[in-house]
Parts: sequence; C-alpha cells; structure tokens
Amino acid sequence: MATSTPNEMGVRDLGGEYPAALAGRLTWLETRLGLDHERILELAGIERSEQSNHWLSDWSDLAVRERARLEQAEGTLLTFLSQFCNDADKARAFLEQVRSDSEFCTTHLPFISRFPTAPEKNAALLGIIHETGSDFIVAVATFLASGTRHPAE
Amino acid sequence: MLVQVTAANQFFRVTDSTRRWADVISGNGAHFLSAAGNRYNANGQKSVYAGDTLEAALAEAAFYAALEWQERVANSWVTWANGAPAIFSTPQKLWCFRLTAPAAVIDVDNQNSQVAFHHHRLILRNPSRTYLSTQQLANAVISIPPPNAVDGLKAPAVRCRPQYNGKSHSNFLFVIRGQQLPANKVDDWDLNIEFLPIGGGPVSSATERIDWENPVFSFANANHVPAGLAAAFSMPICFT
Repeated sequence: MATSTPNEMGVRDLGGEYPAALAGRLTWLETRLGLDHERILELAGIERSEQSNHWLSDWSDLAVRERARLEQAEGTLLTFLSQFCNDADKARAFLEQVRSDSEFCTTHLPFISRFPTAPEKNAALLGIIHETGSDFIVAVATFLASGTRHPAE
Repeated sequence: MLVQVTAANQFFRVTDSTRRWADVISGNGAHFLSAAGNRYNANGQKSVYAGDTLEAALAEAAFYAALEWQERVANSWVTWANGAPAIFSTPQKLWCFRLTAPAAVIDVDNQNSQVAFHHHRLILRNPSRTYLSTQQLANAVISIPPPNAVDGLKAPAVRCRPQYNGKSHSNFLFVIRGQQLPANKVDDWDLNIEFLPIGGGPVSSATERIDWENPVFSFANANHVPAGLAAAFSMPICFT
C-alpha cells in the first residue's frame, strides 16, 4: 500500500516538537530553517546600533528583554513555514534555492533593485513583510536568504 | 445590554496546534497577528477571542484555515515546485475554558447598545475583513471609564451560518496590559480541519475548486470528543 509523505497529508502537526518557551521556539526556527541569528533580530526590528551586545546574546536572554518584538518575528517565521505546510526541510530547501539564485530578487521583486544600499533594501523588504500582501512570501525568503552569512546585497 | 459572565459560562477557542494553554489566554494572538488588527481590536490591543458555542469557535477557525490554504494556493508558483499537497488539512487544538472571576461584557447586538454607541447593526455581521467600524465600536466599549468599565464585548459569530448565528456569539475579552485572562482550562482536543475538492477525491492537478464553505472537522482521538459532537462531521460556514 502506498504511503503518503507528511506534505501529502496536509499541514504537518508541530504540536509535539515545537518548544513551549519563546527562546526554545526561536532556537528551533533558527536551526530547522538554517537562519542567521542576526537576520532574525533584524526581522524583529532590533538594530545593531540599538543594542550592540544583543548580537552576542543567546535567545534565553533576548526572549526576556525583547519578548514583544521577537514574538512578532516568530509569527512572521511561522507564517512563512506554514506556506510549506510546516515542513521545515522544504522551507529550508527553498531558502537555499533563493540563496543560490542570483536572479530571484530581480525576478520576483524587481523594484528592490532600485534601492542602491543594503540598509535601503532591507527596509524595503521589511515594509513588504509587514504589509503581508501578495509579495510576502518572496520578500520573507529574500530577506532571510540574504544577510551576514549569505550576503546578497 | 450588559451581560454578566460567571464561572458557569463555557468559552471555546481554536488555536494552532503548537499553542499552549498560556498562549490561549495571553491575548497576544489578537495583539500581534495582523498589522491591521482584528475585528474588534486595533493592533496593539490585547484581547482573547472566544466563542460561546462550539459552532462559533469551529466556524471561525475553519474560515482562517481556509484562508491559509488559499494563501498556499496563491503562493504555489514558488512553493509547490516539487509537488502540491494532496490533502488540504490543518491540525488545530480546540480549547474549552471558564473565567475564574465574574466579568461584565456588552452585547453590542442589543438595541440599547445601538442607541448608546450609535453603530449600524449591519457592521456586526459584515463578512468584510476591513474592520474600521467594529474596531471603533470596541474602542468605545473599552473607553468606558470606571466604575462602569466592562471586561469585553459579545457580538454575532460572523462565520457561523444563520442556523447557528442566533445562538452563537464571539466574545472579545480584554486583556489588561501585562496580565492574562483570568481563566481555567476545562478541556482541550486535537482537531483536524479539512477542505475537500468539489466532486470528491484527493486534491490533484485536475481539481478545479475546493469546497471552502463545507469544511470537515475530525478529532484525533475518537474516544475524546466534545459533548454533542461526532468524531468527524461537516459543518457549513459563512464565507460571504
């Protein structure tokens, strides 16, 4: 008898594996999606100049000091993951594909190329992400796939 | 127009399956989830949304589960390159709780409420997701000063079909900053919401339409089902 993969069975139930505490949830998302720690902070709107020592902090410390903004960033990441039916492997593979596709941003968000600097591109991408419009998924992918470890600017 | 809620009143809420009890009564879902706010709260206002019947909670959850599937379809150009899901189902958790302290809520569907707050009754059942009028109504309710301040409001369950709408309400219980709703969990159930293609069968490249208005609800444990419900059933919901 043929068996179905989790994706074929609809949205994967993360209830058993998704941690309860915010720090654990962020660690889970960072690890399973292969994200830059700093990029998640930038998604939360936490700037390097604002709290320079944050960049060295672990999630346990940050989850206390920046709970509200990090919960919002977690919501964005979960919405992104949800588009892959909660299959973190598929979401991560998609981000890898975006990283390796130098034309992805030009193809899907052509106006972003009008912004000459990385901070301006970041701000434009965050604007799209917060508007949660039709470009949300490609804006999140472009934002997450670029960054310090994977400079796309 | 003022309704007293006591520990005898049960409330029902459906969340993502990852959510814990503390999340259910935190009010953060309403606070964070939408940049534009929700039906009865602007962004930044914490509220716990809960149905006073199972039908109210289930219909609301199914509506948003359907929207998420519609989003997946809309994004499939970039996300389904390696194949589409064959089954459109979403795992959820259904919660039942009671308040631990008496609360006063305003029934905004009451004629006296209409006189007091000057709102048109049409806004209470408007299926639109543009919420200016209902958010302004909630602002008026939450702005009532002590000693007459209230703990929330109740309104018709918009996503329930008319046969349930007369008895089903959505309740919007305000959460004071830094606190959570004072409530005790009665029970919780693992729930699945599935949308089937019109004409039946799994979703395939030949599927033309999904029956969004008739979701199928099923409980993971057939021996642990809310009173009055079957382990699996279909219930029509309002999309427009």
